[in-house]
Amino acid sequence: MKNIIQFPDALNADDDASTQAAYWLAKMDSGLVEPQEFKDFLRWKRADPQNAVAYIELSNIFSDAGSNSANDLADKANDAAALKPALARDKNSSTQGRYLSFSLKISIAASLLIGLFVLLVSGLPLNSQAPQQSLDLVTQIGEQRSTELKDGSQILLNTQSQVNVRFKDNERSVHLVAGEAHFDVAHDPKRPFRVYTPHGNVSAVGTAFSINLVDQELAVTVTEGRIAVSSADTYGRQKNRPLAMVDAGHQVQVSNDVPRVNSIDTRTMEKQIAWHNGLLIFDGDSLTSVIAQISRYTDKRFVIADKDIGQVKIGGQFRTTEIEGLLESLDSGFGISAHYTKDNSVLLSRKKGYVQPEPRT
Amino acid sequence: MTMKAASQDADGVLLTRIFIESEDALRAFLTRFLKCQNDIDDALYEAYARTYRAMSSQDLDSPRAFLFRTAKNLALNELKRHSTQFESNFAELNIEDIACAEPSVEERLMEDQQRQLLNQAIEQLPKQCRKAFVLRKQHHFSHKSISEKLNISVRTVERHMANAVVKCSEYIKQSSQTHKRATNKLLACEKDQTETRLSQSGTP
Repeated sequence: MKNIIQFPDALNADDDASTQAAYWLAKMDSGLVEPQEFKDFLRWKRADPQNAVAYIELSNIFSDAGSNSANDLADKANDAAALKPALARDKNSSTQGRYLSFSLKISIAASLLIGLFVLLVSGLPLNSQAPQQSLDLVTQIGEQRSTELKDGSQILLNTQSQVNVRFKDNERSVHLVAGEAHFDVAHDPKRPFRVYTPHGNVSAVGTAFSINLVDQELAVTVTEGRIAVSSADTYGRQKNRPLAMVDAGHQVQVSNDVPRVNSIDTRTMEKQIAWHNGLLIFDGDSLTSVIAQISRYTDKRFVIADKDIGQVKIGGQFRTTEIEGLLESLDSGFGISAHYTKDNSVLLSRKKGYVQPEPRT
Repeated sequence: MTMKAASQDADGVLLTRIFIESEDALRAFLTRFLKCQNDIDDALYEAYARTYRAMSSQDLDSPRAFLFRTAKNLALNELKRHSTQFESNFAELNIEDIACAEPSVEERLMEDQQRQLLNQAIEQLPKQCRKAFVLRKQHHFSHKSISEKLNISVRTVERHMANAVVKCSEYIKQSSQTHKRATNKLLACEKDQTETRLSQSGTP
């Protein structure tokens, strides 16, 4: 008797159990599936006992791939004596590790114990002392939001940004996926606070700093304490290499794993963190640069219609939520007029009859 | 300006894996209250979907416990519609007091080896596949965000995920051949422990 099962789309009944299990795993990873799909999944599982074994085996690998970087990172970082105080961790209290080991055991024993799984809990760690937290925060264009985490740390998220918070027993991991964020970190030497970005990672114990990913690089402004920057976690050969220690009052820019540390004066610092208060401060910035900065806070598209006005120097303080106010100032103070078009664009051009004042020396 | 509600991405793989492990128990339990196979399937989906949504909106200490509680409630609702005599049946579905075993030194050692192997396995994945897999597992990107970032379709992201786990699994299996003896020893240990646990947790 042949079991006939219709597999949707790319799933091929001739494939081995592992390949079919991988197909289902990817489906289940993609989100909440439809009832029919879920029933097909259960039917597939029932069709052959090997299918469940294969699925469990692959799901172990899938879960472990998510938990290994953090531990690995801390091991590597511990090698660097300079980073030691900031990156201390309590290896023995790793519940994450306990879960890992348990899933591993199941993977080995799966074929023997499949009938007994009901009694073998695969549950997540329970009763851990340090608060675990898993939270994704997203802001839309022009939005800012402040969130207090379970450990008392604060995250202030700027416009069009996303952070995924994953607090574990031995580490407070935060993944900055896009945009810009300010972190005010609660002191806890046993659980380092680590921000992962595609361009590099930032570690801190108790400190405050802002990270900006907007220009396709990592820029960290340290407002309090000290942070350590290491190379991005990409499974490359030289991952998590310590790059720099950066103190308060400094900024580090990292691109292609090369750090550039600059000390910044109070005025520049004020300007850079003005967004914490919903402000933009300009101080002789060119119109081109001003446009680039305000574009992050609005879905309007700005077009500079007169080429020569791009270099006009702009000064002043504006609210990120009041782009219109800024445009009015451009009109009255800088001789640049704004025309709104139907397709949500703003054309900026030289005001007719405006005489540019002599440049100050 | 509107605020988007905080959300987290539910671990659909973990949930379905728990589901696979527990399906027989859930099904056996629901069979007592639901006669028709179709209703049971619907209830199983409902339990999955509710647990998934709960995982996306809050921290669940144990998704497994939540899944069972949900199934219990679904059955209870069904029961209320028909009769009130079977309350005692619920006492048997108690999964919350099963504890996790502490890892031994050997297990920790295995764990480290396994982690190293997994890292090597990921390193040898094809470039684009590895990129997608790392974005998903290390940076918690959703399939949709990955597709936007890498400029590929969501379906391709799914294929990369499937490909990545199969390749890693093959790599680990190949490399583990030499450690087979050690594994067998562990297996025997595991079996003993399980049997002990089973005899201790036998139903009265």
